[in-house]
Amino acid sequence: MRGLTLLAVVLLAACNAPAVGPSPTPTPTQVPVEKVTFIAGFKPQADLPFVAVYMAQEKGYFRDQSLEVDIQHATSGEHIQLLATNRAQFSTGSAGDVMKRVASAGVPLVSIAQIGQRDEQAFAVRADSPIRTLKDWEGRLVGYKTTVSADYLALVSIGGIDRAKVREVAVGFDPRVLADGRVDVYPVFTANEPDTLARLGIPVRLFDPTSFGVPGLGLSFITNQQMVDTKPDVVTRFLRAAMRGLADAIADRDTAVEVVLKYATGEDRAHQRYMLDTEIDAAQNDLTRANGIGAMERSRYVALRDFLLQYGGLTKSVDVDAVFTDRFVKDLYKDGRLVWR
Amino acid sequence: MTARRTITDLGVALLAIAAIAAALEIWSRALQVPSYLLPAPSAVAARMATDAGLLAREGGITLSEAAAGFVLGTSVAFALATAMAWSRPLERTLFPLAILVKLTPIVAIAPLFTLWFGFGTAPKVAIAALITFFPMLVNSFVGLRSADLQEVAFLQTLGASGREIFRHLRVPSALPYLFSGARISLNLALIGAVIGEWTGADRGLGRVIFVANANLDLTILFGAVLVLAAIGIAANALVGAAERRVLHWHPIAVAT
Repeated sequence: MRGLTLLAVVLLAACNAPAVGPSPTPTPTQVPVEKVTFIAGFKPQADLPFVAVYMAQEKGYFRDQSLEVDIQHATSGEHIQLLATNRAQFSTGSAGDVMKRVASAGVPLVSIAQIGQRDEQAFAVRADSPIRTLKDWEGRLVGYKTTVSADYLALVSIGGIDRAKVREVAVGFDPRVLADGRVDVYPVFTANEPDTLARLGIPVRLFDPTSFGVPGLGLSFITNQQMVDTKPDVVTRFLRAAMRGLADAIADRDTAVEVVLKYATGEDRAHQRYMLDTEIDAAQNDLTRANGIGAMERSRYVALRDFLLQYGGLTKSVDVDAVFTDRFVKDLYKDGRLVWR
Repeated sequence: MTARRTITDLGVALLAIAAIAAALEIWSRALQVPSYLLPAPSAVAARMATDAGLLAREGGITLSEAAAGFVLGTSVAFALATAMAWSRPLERTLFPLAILVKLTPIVAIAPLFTLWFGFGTAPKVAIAALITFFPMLVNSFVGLRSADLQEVAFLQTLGASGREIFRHLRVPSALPYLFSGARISLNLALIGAVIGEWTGADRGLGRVIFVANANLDLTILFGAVLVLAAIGIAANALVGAAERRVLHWHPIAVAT
């Protein structure tokens, strides 16, 4: 009888024992698996939001959050329309771009985590250029990528530049025009083009709008209004997994670059590392140190909107509360640390 | 007879366009399709009316770049085709190079043209020339080689020189092919100019399309596309008219 009792106790204990498995973290409450599509706003590369998603996919964090994520990449801006029609559920875009799309075309986009805390663009001159101050731009050939940007107009104003004395030219997206000496000032994406130019043997100096007080913001995770309204839990789970992937990328950058190269086949490893380091640096400030990576602050969106309105970046005003929400990212952190559940 | 047929053809084409536009209008209104996905034809028409000056100006720039590229590309192509028709060794040497040019993805190398030729008109003209080169080369070459061998032999027995045979037999025999090549190349020249304007331009319909795409401003984007199409149709009509006049003796003139 004592033997039977002992056997019963052992069996009961076995039934209640924790599951044996490789996961060091508690598995979240089981919910039906949701299929979503993340479309990165550009080709595969070490843009920090892309890296976050690559890492989350690689490490199974999306699976842990009951998400099946299809990762796609846009090549010519089609991610915005795909997101707007809910053919994709998550993407990336700069805060300023999101405002422009909402203001000018009424596209129902919402920023849900602000990864880049600084302006992602600057103006480069060759390191050996005699151009030292903004005023030195007068009499020079200054490039713009697509249209004359609000950043540029702000610098013209701040530097007291007589715009009539500047020759402005559309240069597109090929930094070789600076290397080749076809322009004197070239607009760069700070995360990659200075390194591209350095590799061409052309070190550059930057006129960074942020350092002149221009209120820029970089890339954010974005979704559509439908997801915010109808599937907020999916949004939270996506961000939680992505932010854990991002934390891993910051902690182990070599591994992160390895994972990036699985998507960005043929890309240069050192260049991807440069991008990653630059974007990690741009993703951190006092706000994120207190509240976690991706933290959002309403006053910065208001400042950005007002700045864009002042310098023609927006043709009409936009309600900042319609273009961003910090409710999801706030839910991810406690005392600035990511809570995994 | 020809004029009546042209008017009838034009009427049918306009009716077809109107029917498609009406269907799109009803569909976009019924489903309330957002303008950043597909603007209603009425919205595009309204925008074209508002920005008629802009579209005309930028269309004129694209047309001038395309025309210059067309003349340059087809002239070089005809000269090379003549050399190739004249000499088998030259044919064997040049034809693989021509195929290399044909297979080069223009969009990928377009930025290089800005590096080589600067920001002005030159890179757009060069791209338009490059894209028109191959169809005209092939058509010219085949046309020049299409002369009836018995007629060549006959002229030779009359003591005609190679130059005389070229002028009085080979070129006339090649004309239908040349017009066919011109029709293809003209439209390609327009596309080439637009591609050139996507990479480092501040004027032209290509730039209008590029900026409109970046801003999700699809009304002006489709407006620019329609202007481009209108230019292409007009250019084709012009070539068709020239073809009918020059080749009035040829069956093809009756067929077109």
